[in-house]
Amino acid sequence: MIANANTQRHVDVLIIGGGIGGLQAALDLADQGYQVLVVERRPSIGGRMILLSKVFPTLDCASCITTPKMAAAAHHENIELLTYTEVNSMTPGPDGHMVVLTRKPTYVNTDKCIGCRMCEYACATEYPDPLEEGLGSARAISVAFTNAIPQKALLNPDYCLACGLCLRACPTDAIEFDQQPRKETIRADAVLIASGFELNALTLKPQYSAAQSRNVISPLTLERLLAPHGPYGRVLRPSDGKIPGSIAFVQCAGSRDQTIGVPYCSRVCCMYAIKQAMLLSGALPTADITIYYMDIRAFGKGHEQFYQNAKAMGINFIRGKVSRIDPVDHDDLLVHVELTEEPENFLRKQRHDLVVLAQGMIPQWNPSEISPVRLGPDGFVVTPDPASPCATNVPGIFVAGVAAGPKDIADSIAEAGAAAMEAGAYLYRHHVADMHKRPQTVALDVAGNRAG
Amino acid sequence: MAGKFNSNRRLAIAEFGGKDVDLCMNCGTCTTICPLSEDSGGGFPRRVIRLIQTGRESKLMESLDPWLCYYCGDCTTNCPRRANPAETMMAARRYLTARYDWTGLAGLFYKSALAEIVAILAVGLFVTLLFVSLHGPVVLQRVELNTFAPVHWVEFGDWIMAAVLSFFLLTNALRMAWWVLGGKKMLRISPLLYLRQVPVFFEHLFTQKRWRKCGSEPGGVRWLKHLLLVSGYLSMLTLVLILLRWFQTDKIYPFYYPQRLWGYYATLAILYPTADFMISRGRKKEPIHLFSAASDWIFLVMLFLTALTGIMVNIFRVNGLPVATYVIYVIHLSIAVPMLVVEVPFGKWSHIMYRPLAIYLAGVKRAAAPAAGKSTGQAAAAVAA
Amino acid sequence: MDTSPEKISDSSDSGKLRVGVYICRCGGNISDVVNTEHVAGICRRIPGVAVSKVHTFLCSDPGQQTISDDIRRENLDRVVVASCSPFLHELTFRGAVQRGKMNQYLYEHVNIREQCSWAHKHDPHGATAKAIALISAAVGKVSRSVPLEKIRLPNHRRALVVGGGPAGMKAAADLAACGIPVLLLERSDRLGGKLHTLNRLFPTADAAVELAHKLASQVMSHPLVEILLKSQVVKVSGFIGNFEVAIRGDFGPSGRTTDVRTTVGVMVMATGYRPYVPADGEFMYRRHPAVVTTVDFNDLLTRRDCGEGTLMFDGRPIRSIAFIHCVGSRQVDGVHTPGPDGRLHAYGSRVCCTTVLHQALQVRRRFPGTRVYDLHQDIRTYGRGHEEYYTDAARAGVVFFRYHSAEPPRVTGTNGAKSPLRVSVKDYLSWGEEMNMEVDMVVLAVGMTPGPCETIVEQLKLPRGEDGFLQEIHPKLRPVEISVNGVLLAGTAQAPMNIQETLAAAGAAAVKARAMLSKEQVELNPYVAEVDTRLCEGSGACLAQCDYAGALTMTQTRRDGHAVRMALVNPGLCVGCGACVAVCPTRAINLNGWRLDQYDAMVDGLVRDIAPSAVN
Repeated sequence: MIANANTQRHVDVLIIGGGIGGLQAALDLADQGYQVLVVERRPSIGGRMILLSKVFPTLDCASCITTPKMAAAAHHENIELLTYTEVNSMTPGPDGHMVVLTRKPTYVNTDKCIGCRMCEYACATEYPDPLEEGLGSARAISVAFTNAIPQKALLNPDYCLACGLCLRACPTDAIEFDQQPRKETIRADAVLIASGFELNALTLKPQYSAAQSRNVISPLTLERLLAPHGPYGRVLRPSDGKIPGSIAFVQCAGSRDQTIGVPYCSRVCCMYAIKQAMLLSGALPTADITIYYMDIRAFGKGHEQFYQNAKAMGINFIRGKVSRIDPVDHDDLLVHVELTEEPENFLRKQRHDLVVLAQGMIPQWNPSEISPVRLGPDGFVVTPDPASPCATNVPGIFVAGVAAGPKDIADSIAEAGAAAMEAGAYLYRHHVADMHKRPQTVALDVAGNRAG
Repeated sequence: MAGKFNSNRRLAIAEFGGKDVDLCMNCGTCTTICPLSEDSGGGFPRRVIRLIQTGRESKLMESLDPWLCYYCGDCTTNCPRRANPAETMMAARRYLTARYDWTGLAGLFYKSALAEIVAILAVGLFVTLLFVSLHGPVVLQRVELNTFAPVHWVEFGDWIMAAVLSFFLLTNALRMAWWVLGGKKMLRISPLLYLRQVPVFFEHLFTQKRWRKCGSEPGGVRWLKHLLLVSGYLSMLTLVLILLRWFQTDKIYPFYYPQRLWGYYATLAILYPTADFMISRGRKKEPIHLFSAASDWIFLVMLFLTALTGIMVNIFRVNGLPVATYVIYVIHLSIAVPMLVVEVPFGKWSHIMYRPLAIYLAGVKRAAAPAAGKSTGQAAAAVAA
Repeated sequence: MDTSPEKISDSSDSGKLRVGVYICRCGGNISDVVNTEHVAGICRRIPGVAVSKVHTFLCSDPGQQTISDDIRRENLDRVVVASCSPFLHELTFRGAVQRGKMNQYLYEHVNIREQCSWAHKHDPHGATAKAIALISAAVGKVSRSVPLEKIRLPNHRRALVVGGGPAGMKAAADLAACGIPVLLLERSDRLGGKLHTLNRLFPTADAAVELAHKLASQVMSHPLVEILLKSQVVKVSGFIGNFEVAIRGDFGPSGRTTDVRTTVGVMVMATGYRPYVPADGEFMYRRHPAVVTTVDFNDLLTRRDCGEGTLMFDGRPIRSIAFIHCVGSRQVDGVHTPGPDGRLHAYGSRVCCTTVLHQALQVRRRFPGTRVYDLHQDIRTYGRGHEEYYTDAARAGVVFFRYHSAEPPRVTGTNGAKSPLRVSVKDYLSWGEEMNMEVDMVVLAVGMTPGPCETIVEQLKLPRGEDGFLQEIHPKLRPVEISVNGVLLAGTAQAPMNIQETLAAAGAAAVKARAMLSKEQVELNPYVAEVDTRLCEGSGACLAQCDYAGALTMTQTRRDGHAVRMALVNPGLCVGCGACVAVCPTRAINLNGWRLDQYDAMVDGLVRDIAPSAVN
């Protein structure tokens, strides 16, 4: 169910982030009988995963895994979702964590909106859709995407012309131009951070010419190009709509590189590059696909076989870090690399139609600014106790997924379960202690079901 | 080409400033970012780094790669591991200089700044004492430098020094050629081939033209400054070695006379670049100036002081200050002589010879083994082309 | 052909039925090949179909909402969804049907993705025709469905954790912390498992033994955890909520080996891994004493007599060591030979790269005089804080060599040279040159192989993956569950993992176990055999065919005043395989949800002539 905002409320667990990690933790906690509130800064839950095409190493379609979890969370009686909401502060106290939220104005009354999209169809303004990595366009008032939860319209004030077309189109008079941000305070016995990642800037290394060429793209852009319901419905390169005949994957373009301040490995890039290469070779059977890498880190279950399959499919793997990418005529790109595993010295300037940069994973959110949660030198949340891999330095605050370091989906989901377990155990202790102190409050029976 | 990996010894490259060579993970960024690598067979700097990592000294001794690098620092700027390939190449040059030098002094001076300073002070003191004990009559009424230090004596000293230094330089050059050309194999190469490549040596000695391609910095400004320095340096050498009688006169010519103009040019062409390089090294802004070994500083300081004291001799002389002229002249020589004696065969100066010599030897090697086709052969071909 | 006359009386009359058919485009996965709009149009012609709709993502919330809304609005009483594999989403749509207040077993799932659009990518017409036929069959089947209820059985709210290593201890501690009684089983005589064989843990450099003690004290101090050491499962049967386990061990007052029986609701498999043991002669292993594995070497580093300043082994100083990666991992057919288990270890073992670097770094720091060479294929320091080991090892002077899987390094003896072993490798960082190094010691980075759990695996028929590890249902949808409901996977029983990942996996298993044990009763699918008491003649043919002990028994009962022998189904143990149905001479036994008349209806549906030959 989708929540309406009240002023101050109590929940058992507040989860920051409605991506796959946050949703999994929410489901696991809710299944144990805890009241969970999921706070998501975007208009819809589903996080990054809902925007992907297919996922390694099983090549399941990403939507097919994500949408049911989204729906399960939306329908769970113990889960409440607050989308388009930011966390302002998080203060531990004797009665739990006081979390101050800002509910950003959507300019649409969510109680009245029925998700019919009449406003969207009526709207006259379009802007580059960030969910399509700018390749497609979105209307100034729209439902975020087809599978979005909640299915509620949202108005983007940066692009709205206030022409009133949507007002007239809306059958339920749900549009409210005068909405203001609303503050809300939640008292949560436990907090779980699942705030995920973002990628460092495509233009971070000027040597890679992403600012000069539209054909140097982010892997997330390629995900959208590969997604069956993506912006073009097929793979075309951004600059001129040409079907790329030769595609390069440049690995470690934003990781394992001390010159850009990301010395660590982003862990997932090898595998998603292989996956994208496989999907590309399916979509463009004649295309020449090359992955430039330093080490192929196919470490997880089924990963090595996936890598070997890609090699067998004819995808080129070249060991060497790309030092430079130069735009050349016809919007093509020249990739400079040393083939470091050749028997002879071998420098190559390889021409490609499209280049995908494996950007580094960096934390999406910094909780240390608004709470006592400590970060490591890499910017991710630290978990100081080796016996509790999801517990932060603050009692009652837990972390899961990429917020605690780069991770693939499977590992994030496993960690979300573990975080839910630790939060559950913490709450159990908390509630048992509460029972002695304040017998009138909610108590749990032995199995964790809500009683009394 | 089975390589014996010498597991019991590692190259002591760290002592020559190559402290970060172990950090390299052989990703190849440096090699592709280097504007000169492709023209040099596509192997450097990673090839040199790998040879050092795997302790393969004979291969390194054979390699000309270090001398083909002009240290723009692009590789170091771009190195994802901060393994400092540019400084590794510099260290490799120091290492090779030390290995070419049969006296062992070059190695000693590179490894110990103290030894180098002591050597310079000793030679300087020797020159000072020589003047204190052997100088001519001191004329106080007017400046008579040629009376205080008779020009033919000084010239005689110059030539002695030149002969000794040339001996060291040439023997070291021969040792370099010996390793690079494969030992005794060099004797089987036709003398004609050696002769034919001689113009290459001088061309690169005077122009360092390969340098112009080096670095992503605009316009080869550093190359120009360095060229200016080389011209000043060679001018000075010509004036004091060949034209000393014409240059060191007690008659004061008008300033537009060639010996004065040329002298001023030489002074400025040394002072300006050396001062500029020293400021840059102090500021540590450009990659090339981030890491300065003692040997780099000593060479620059000595050069700068030589030119400075040289021009001061001129100033005092023109202004008719006899005592100041004589004293500064002694100081000038006490700086210039050790600078030459220590730096030319054993110090950083020697690169003036090794760099063009490397290109020369590459040409010889290519001419001698056109069918080799191996990487070094390719390198040679590319360099000489 | 209607052989089950009574049960389906009101539903067999298709005139009264209102079936809703929903066809998913799967965002193009289906609709790029199958003409979904056409299929929907054709399906409207099937008798009984009241609604036939297409949706881009039926599994999404709006898609599911359409179904539940239609049930109410269109008064549907049967639903068919044609989408992906039921493996993915049958349960999803059951949920949607239930939200529409309809019995969830009046729902039928058709797979037109794996079976149509993916299988017949290059034949859109054929794929479309096949989709129509399959849906038609499903409509036929669902028309004869009857409302079923889940089988509810008592839930034994107690967990059995098999294995007292980090995963087992963590799962037990977590469950007990939530008030769930746990029986923790360990084969050896102490808790801690492989933590005792480790030294310092990466990336925090915490002592492994301290972690072992911490976890052990958590379980030992908890009154809800019962620990049985030197004991193992010898017999197991049953199902979720009701696993009957026989445990043999040295416990009880006598201290002698005895068997005990107990019942638990869930089982957590924390049976861990075994390090790969190199074959005799593999890299000179067992041919030369100075060729050891990373496990042995770790042991050496923790020993007090390994030397101060100089690493000592076998009374000899070790001046140089070569580490060889991927021993027993990333094996290649044609280069490596399968091990004793007949398997080629093609997988990467995840932890060994960082293990080697960790050990190499320790050597360089504690024994600076010892040279270290690292021979790898790829350096896979993927985890948080792992890349630092790689950088630090390089900084500390470890020399790296890179070999290709088809050209593994060779280890030979040197016959009296200063160092006893020679390692040769074609080094691809040195332009493929052959490098020879003489070393005092060779350390083989051994991978992980599945741990011992044969009894349980065989008796519960747990599936293993190609790699031999226990196979989860789905790495993302149900990552710690296995196809036997109520059995959960924790840690390296499932796949190679490091300690942090192991503990996280154990936590994830515990949270699922807690949810399973939170209910008073367990709910099982009603797809079990059912005996028609009027038709059964007690032939016993079904019993002879049944593979599942206890699922079928013969009983004496009375019918029409006569004593008769009759088959009786234990719904908890029946897995619904249908073997009994096939052999019953009187067609008296049927599978709920898959009755014989439903098969007949499916066949009718398949051959129903509704699709015109030309498909647009």
